Amino acid sequence: MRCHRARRLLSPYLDGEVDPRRRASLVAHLSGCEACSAELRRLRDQQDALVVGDQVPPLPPDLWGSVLSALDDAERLPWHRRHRARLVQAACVAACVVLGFGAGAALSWRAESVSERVSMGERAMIAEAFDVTAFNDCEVLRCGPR
Amino acid sequence: MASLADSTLMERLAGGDRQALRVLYERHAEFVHRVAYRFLRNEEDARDITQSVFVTIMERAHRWRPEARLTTWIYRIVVNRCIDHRSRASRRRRATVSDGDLEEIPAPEESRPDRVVDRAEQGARLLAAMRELPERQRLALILSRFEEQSYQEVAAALGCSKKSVESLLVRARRSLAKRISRHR
Repeated sequence: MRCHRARRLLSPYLDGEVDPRRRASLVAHLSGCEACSAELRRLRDQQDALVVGDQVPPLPPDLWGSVLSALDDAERLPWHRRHRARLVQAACVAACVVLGFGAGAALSWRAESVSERVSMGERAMIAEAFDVTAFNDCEVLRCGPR
Repeated sequence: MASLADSTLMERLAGGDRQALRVLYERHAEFVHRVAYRFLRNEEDARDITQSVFVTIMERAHRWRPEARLTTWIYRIVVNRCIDHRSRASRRRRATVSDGDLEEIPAPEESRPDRVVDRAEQGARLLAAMRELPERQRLALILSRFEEQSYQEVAAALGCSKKSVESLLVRARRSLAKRISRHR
């Protein structure tokens, strides 16, 4: 095992999460590599120091009362406010669907109206300008006026 | 009721039984509060998170499936609450830096007395450095190191793979070492 690979295994090794096969080759590497062994000692010291400095305050004794009050408050809320997040989500989905259909309808209406506005004379002029003998309305839409 | 299994209590909870919630609170509130405090390092915030987690447990009891371990499901709720709280708080604080934050920022190198750092002091610095880690690295470290959860359990709580947990922890430990050596 190379040092690069061994270094990556040091963290899971400290947590007891290295499988027996990899652990055996890591231990073999550590016994012959002073740099990786020093890194392991440093990581272990860091872990121990982290726990030494850690102090958690006790659970506040009145917290259960606050949980009950919060539950009462939640139950007193009208249905639409209790489920506001879900309602907003549903409204967003509905708005996207409506916008999607709206945009599709508007585009198809525009294509039709352009097609109606382009007279036969204009078609001939456009065909001449673009040096084509025939074109359809989609081409007119794609090219636009010069 | 105190002797009932978590799964039975959850069934009762889904039917709106608050007494079942009381028993679950007595069993699990300690770790919920511990994780929230270690993540946020603020008593008031840890209290809010714990309260909100138990309200969520009551409201979503019907969604829990007995195949999943209850503690893993609760860890997942705590993790999501912590991340939500953190992003809301960082949005609020974007424009200002509070006095508490200023205390956290280490003094410039030249003004620091040249002295041997004892273990308790190193621990305090590590914990301060931990607050600067990205959320998921910090949560992985809290659950694995302090709560002694296996990588599999941490992965379930964070909603990622075991391999990702391993990688989060490697990066977290490297970042901590770098931050500490920078401030030495």
